[in-house]
Amino acid sequence: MLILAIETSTISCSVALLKDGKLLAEHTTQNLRNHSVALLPNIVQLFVETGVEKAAVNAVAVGIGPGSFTGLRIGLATAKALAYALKIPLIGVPTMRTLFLQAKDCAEYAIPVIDAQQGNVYVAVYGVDGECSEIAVVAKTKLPELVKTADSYCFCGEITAEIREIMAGTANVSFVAEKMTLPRAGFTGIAAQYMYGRKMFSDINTLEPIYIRKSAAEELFERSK
Amino acid sequence: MLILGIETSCDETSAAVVRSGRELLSNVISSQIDIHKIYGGVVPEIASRKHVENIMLIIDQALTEASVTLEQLDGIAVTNGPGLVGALLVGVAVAKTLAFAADKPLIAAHHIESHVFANILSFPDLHPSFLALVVSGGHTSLIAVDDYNSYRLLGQTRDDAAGEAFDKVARVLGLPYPGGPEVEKLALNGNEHAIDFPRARLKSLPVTNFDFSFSGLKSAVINYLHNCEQRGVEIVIADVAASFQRVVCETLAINAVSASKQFGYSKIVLAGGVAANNKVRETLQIYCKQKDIELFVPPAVLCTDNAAMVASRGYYSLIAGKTAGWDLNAVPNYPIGKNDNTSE
Ligand SMILES: [Zn+2]
Repeated sequence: MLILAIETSTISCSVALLKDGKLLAEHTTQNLRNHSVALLPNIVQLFVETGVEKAAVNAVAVGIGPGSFTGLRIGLATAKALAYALKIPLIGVPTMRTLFLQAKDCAEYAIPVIDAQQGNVYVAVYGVDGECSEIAVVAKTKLPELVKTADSYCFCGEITAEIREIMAGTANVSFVAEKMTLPRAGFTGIAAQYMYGRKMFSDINTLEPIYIRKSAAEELFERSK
Repeated sequence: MLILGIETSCDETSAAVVRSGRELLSNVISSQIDIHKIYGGVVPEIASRKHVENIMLIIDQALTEASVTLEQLDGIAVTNGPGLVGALLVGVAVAKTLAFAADKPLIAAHHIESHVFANILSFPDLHPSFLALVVSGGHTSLIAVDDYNSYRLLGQTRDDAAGEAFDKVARVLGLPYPGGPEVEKLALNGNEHAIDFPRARLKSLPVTNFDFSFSGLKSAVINYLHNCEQRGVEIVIADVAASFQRVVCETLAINAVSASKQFGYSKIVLAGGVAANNKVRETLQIYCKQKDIELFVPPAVLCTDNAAMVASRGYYSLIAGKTAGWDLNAVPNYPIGKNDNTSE
């Protein structure tokens, strides 16, 4: 059972190949080349390194955000085309879930954050069992309000120095290890393995990124109405 | 040889299958125009979102209509520029991946060069060399085509594209977007000699340069309307539309015909969305006839953005041994004549 996983919603361009839920190979770069240039060569490299035939892959998993609109579209377009050409299921994995898996067991609650620009972040709160709140867009300065009275909260994902400062002095808050701050396709693949078992497949023609925000033009238009 | 073409450079999602560069087997075009209309122009972020939503469905439809499987293809061609970068990226990512997954050659196609191939698809006996006039909302380019893979830019617009001028004038006349067809419709009831708008003469040009300029004309229209309003003179907008359109058509025709004479071309091919305008076609025809130049005008459906022209363009790259690598990128500003197909 082979899963090819793609995660391009942040500055990390990450691809991985998993066999029966175990990582065979992962390639993650941090904005070295833009995703459009790097993504397919990195996928090709996975097949070369592992000797796996592309026809042997059973499913394609892709991070669906939220995050960079352009990065997400490159990942989704690539994943859709792979699923179509190889005639295999497509599995859309929220990037929040990937970040949660990377921080799992660190604390009672994991709080993945992803940059949403203009001082905002996308954020959700995950319990250890994987139950999660809805994804919201909040100002970074409002992040402390998410921390309630539970024993421990672990902030994960795109943790900037600014966020560390905002959260400093909160006793029940910790941060995920530096090496785990960027979403990694290996974890996207682990999430997808679970979803594959439950046949949680996405439709090639209707799968969309989790944009959350409308385009600026749409927002302007709606305000003007 | 069967080529799948993919086009997502602006607001049309299109896929097509063409045999041997000339025989159109399918050409599926999904236009987003109704979505962008309310914003008065194409919104890049919305266009990109729609492309990623529609693209696989459109490709599947193109293959189905052509009764061709992915395995039967000989190559996959994609527009990688010029255009809206976010929109281009969707087509490029899909084309690359399909080519990799199905073990097919990938071919990069220049969008404006591809427009020229609407003519190759329409006229079985047409071969280079010829002069191409590509006129659209984004481009006004005069190109010397000496071979299927040889393009020399002789002139281009220095400001607004011809189609852009149509859209802007339509807006000041209170017509809805897209303005081109609206101006054309309105002009049918107007007197095209009613107002003497100036035709731009680019004095500083060397004799071998055939650049265009339309922003002065647009300003002249705006000034005329203001003047009339100030003086309380009634404006006949049909006359304004007809007079403006006449000047655009004459500018295009005079430049194209002079360049043909200067460089010794006996054929002119017209392409691009504005080539669907009947007045443009008629004016070019009149000027070409006077100078004994043969004019080629493809049907309107091949003039606007479509993937059949991309597949046709791609075929001629492929048979010349030119293909692209897996690191192909979208290039929003992609000069004519440059080629992103790396291997020969
Ligand atoms: Zn075009």
